[in-house]
Amino acid sequence: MQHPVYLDYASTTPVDPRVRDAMLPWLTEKFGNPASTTHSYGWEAEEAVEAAREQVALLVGAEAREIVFTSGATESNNLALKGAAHQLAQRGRHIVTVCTEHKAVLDTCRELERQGFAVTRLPVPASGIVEPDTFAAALRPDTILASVMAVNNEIGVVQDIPTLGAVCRQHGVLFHVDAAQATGKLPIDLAVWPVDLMSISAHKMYGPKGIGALYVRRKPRVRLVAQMHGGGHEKGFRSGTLPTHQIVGLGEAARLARLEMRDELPRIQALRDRLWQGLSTLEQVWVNGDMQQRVPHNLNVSFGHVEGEALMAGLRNIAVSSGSACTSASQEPSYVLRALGRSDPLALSSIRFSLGRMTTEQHIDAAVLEVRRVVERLRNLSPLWEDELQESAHADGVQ
Amino acid sequence: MRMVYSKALLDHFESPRGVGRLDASLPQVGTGNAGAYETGGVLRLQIQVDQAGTIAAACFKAYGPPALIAAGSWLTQHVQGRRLDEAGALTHQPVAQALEFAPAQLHWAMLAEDALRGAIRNYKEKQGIHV
Repeated sequence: MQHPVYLDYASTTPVDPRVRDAMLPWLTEKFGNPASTTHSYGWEAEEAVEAAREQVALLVGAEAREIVFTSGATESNNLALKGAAHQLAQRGRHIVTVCTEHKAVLDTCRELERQGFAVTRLPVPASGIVEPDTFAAALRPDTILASVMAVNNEIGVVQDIPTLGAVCRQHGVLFHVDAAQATGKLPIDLAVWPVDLMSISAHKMYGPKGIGALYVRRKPRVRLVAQMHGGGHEKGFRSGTLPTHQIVGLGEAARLARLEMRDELPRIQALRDRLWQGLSTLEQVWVNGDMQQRVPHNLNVSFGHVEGEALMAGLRNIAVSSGSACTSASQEPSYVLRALGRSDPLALSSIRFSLGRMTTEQHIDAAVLEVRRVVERLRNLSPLWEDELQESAHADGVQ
Repeated sequence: MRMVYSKALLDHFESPRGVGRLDASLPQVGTGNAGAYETGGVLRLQIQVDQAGTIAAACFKAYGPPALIAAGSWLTQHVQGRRLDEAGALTHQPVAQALEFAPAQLHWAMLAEDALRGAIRNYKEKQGIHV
């Protein structure tokens, strides 16, 4: 079977061959524990870990000592939110986030609610972009923490992090940003951005799965209650033997992202525009979320008069994500698209295309053909589409 | 969870039989509609009955998941050439069995049954046959 064209880079990316090459020696001949201070096996591993830490810091405008390695963005989000909430519980118990955040943030907030914290989940307009006034109005005297993602995983919209961060600073509220979908896709400068905590993932930027980082600001210093206890690794923030090969992979992925972003972004933007150009010639196609304030890698569209499950079942030659979560009994529409005000049928008939480093014009053209084929076939099968065509033909006739 | 489709279901979904429409204004044509856009599935099933009371032609159109499209397609094939009372006795069970529906897909077979009953009722009403 021929593999379908991969347009699901927001789910995960392949490891860049250069990243893999950088990782391999650390699995075999250079296998030392970076915490071993008594011999050269440990020393060389520690040096590699620190070099990677520097690369991650450089990508986001941080200092190396502000980077804490974790198992990925989900753990980073857990450590940031629980760690900060537990640290600040004496000062207040209110947390502000957004209803379109990733489950790793929303479910962590739910757990904090269970522990006695209060959580406000802000709505978003159809653009998907949090309005700073709405955000500021949600902050209360007992608000200790706010969490807003930089780039939405489903619709790719970019939140105005510097503005929201400034609001948090004014109110003395700690600000966490989930940047799992953002690193390497837009310039991030934590030397300027008023952000206290930021979650990073490797496998969304051509690094390996199972490694990520949490940025923890030093000035002003952010304190967290550790969620993983053990040998006191990572300055006590996160115990556990450091996986040198994984960390080296994250570091190399970060270095490549920093060096190649400037060339990669316009290339991917051109491909995304080509994709949209090809799809927008179909009738009743709607972009979900703001088209301008969006990373160039993402296009999320809904198709009118096409049922979601049939659409996904029909699309055999492209690998994409849909706006539905298949449960045992039925298709559940995406909560993100629902928050934008999309009806259930339109939320269910959405496709998230996410482009990446290996995407070519041929991939895009094949995807356009495939989507057109399936959408047109399903519409031709639909009695509702037929009725609508007849009505519009009738209306044209009257004019 | 990944949706699992049987071979028979996929075959009818990929190459549906009996897609089309009959002139609903004709007295020998019965039309049945079932389902709603909001709930994710609409099936229109039409039958044309000859003077001997046999279904001479059947066709469908569907908006919905693969299971509903397959059910509509299978039904048009199954009722063609059958006597009206025979077709009227049909339930969702043979549809679900033939297409190897999973329990989560069963309600689409029921929707297909509703559409078929609706088409037969519509035909009988036109003919002045008491239902």
